[in-house]
Amino acid sequence: MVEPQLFVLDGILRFLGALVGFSVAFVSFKGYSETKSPTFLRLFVAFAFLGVGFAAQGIAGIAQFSISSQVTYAAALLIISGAIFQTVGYFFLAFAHILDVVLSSRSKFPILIPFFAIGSVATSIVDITRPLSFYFLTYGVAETLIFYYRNRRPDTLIIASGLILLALGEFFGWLIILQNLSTLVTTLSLIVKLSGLFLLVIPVMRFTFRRRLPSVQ
Amino acid sequence: MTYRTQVRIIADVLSAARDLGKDSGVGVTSLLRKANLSHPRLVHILSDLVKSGLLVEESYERGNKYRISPQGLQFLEAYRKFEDFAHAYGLRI
Repeated sequence: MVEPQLFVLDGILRFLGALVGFSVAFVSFKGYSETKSPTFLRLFVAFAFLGVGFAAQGIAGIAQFSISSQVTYAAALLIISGAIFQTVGYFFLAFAHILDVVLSSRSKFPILIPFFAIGSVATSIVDITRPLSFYFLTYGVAETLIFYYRNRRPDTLIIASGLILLALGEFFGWLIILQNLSTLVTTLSLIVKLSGLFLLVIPVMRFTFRRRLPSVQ
Repeated sequence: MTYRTQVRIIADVLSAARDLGKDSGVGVTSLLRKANLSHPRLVHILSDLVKSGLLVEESYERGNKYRISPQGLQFLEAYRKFEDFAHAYGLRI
C-alpha cells in the first residue's frame, strides 16, 4: 500500500516533470519556428504530450492526498489520461529517432518491433501504458547512445543517462503494479525518475544561458 | 552516406558565403565546391536566400557575387544553437 505522503511526493515530482516537459517543448517550438526543421516539431509534440501527462498525474497525486486515501473518479481519469499522454509523448520521441534513422539513410529498417508481451499481463489502461513507455524509452536510449558513439558529445550522453533513469523509473513502476511491491520500491522509482528528469533539462539550461556570440558586421 | 536536410543545406551555403566571401563576396563556382551541390539546385537556393534577405547579391562584369547579410549571420548563429540542442537529444536537424 502506498502511503499518502508518497502521493504528494509523487505529485510534486510529476509537476517537476511537467515543468521539464514544457521547457523542452518551448525550446523545441522556438527551434521549429526559427529553422522550420521537422525534427523540432516532433520534439515539441513529444515533450508537450509528456508535459501534459505529467501535469495531469501531478494534479491527481495532490487530489488523492487532499481527500485521504479515497480516489475520486476525476483523479482516476487524470491518472489514466496522464499515463496515455506520457506514452504518446514517449512514442513521438521514439518516432523522431525512427525518422532520423530513416532520413539519414543509416538504415532502411529502424529496429522497433511490436511489443507482444503487453496483452498477457495487462489488467488496466495504465498497465498497458507503463511497459509501452518503457519500451519507447528504451528505443530512445538505444538511438541516443548510438548518436553519442558516433559524435562523442557530452550533452548526448547526459540525455541518454536521463532517458535510462526515466526508463528504469517506468520499469520499477511496472514492477510495482505487477508484484504489488513495497513503498521502498515506490520511493526508489520516484528518486530515479526525478534524477532522470533533472538530466533531461540540462540542454535546456545550456540553451537558455548560453552566451550570445558577438555579431559580425 | 548521410543525406542533408534542407535547413542543413541552407546553413552550409550560408557558412560557405560567410567563410569565403568576407569582403568582396563569393562566386557561384566557389560556393558549388564548398556547399557540394548541383548547379541548378545551388542557383535555386541562392535565389531563395537573396529573396529572404539572408544573402546579398552583387552584380559584377564577370557574374554575380554573394555576401552573407547580418540576418544571414543571425540565422547561422541560431542554427548552431538549435543544432547543439537537437544533438543533445541524439537528433539531427
